[in-house]
Amino acid sequence: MRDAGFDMEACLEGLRSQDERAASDFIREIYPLVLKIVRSHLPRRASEEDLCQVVFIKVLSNIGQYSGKVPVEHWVSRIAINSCLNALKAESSRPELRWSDLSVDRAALLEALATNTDSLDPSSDAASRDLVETLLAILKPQDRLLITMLHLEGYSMDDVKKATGWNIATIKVRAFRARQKLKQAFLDLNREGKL
Amino acid sequence: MNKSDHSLDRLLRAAAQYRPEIAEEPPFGFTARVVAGWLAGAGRDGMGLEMLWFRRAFLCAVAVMAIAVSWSYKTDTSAPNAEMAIASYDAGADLP
Repeated sequence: MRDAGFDMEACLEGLRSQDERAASDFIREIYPLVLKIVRSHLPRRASEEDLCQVVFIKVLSNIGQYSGKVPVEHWVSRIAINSCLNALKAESSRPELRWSDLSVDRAALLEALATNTDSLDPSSDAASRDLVETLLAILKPQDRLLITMLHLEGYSMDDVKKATGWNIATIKVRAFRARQKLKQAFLDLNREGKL
Repeated sequence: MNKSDHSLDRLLRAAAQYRPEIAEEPPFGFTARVVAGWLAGAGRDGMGLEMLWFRRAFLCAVAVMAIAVSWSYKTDTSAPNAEMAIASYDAGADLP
């Protein structure tokens, strides 16, 4: 991801001495990574840009704590994930999902899932993502984060461990329970659709 | 694997295929806002240090006050000095 001509060490030195130019270069370099994380774990009513801004201000304000033992991208990722998790926790209400609230696309997708066993048509990827995000919104923030990382972003258990700081046993147990809850929500929705 | 698990897996696989466009560049004005927020926060950090010292000084003052109050309360409620009691009795006995 990093630009070949970009000198991260020099940029970090600049940030430690509060150099504005270094800060601008750093933001431009790391922005796609932060945006990707924020977009994956964004609460329903939060603004993507506002959350990115919060993440960058946290990163820049705490740059003195970066020891250099891990790549800066990993350190930034952890801050971004924790910020998203806090934003999800702050969103206290969990919506109740009803078949009648589903859009036509989502309802058609659920019917397609119920009636045939083949893989879904690639044109329905966006609708699938939309439906999964709707289902995820009823889960707890940590459960939602785990399902997104493991099933949508393709993280391994080790990647999740690095990104969240949770141990493998916790991740496995939480992932299993999260998946059960997601399945239950999916079944409830299907059952309601058949009524 | 039962049917509902299979359906959920298919849904998750399809959702994982969806890759929205990720902007390479931050939006206009974003960098300036972040840098301004960062520098304003850095200014507040200096103030934060002063506040920390103020808070510590305040807590020390409260602790000294509490010790002084408890010490004076203890002195007030302790038994009266025996000599003073005798002196008061003698003074009272002389009265007509």
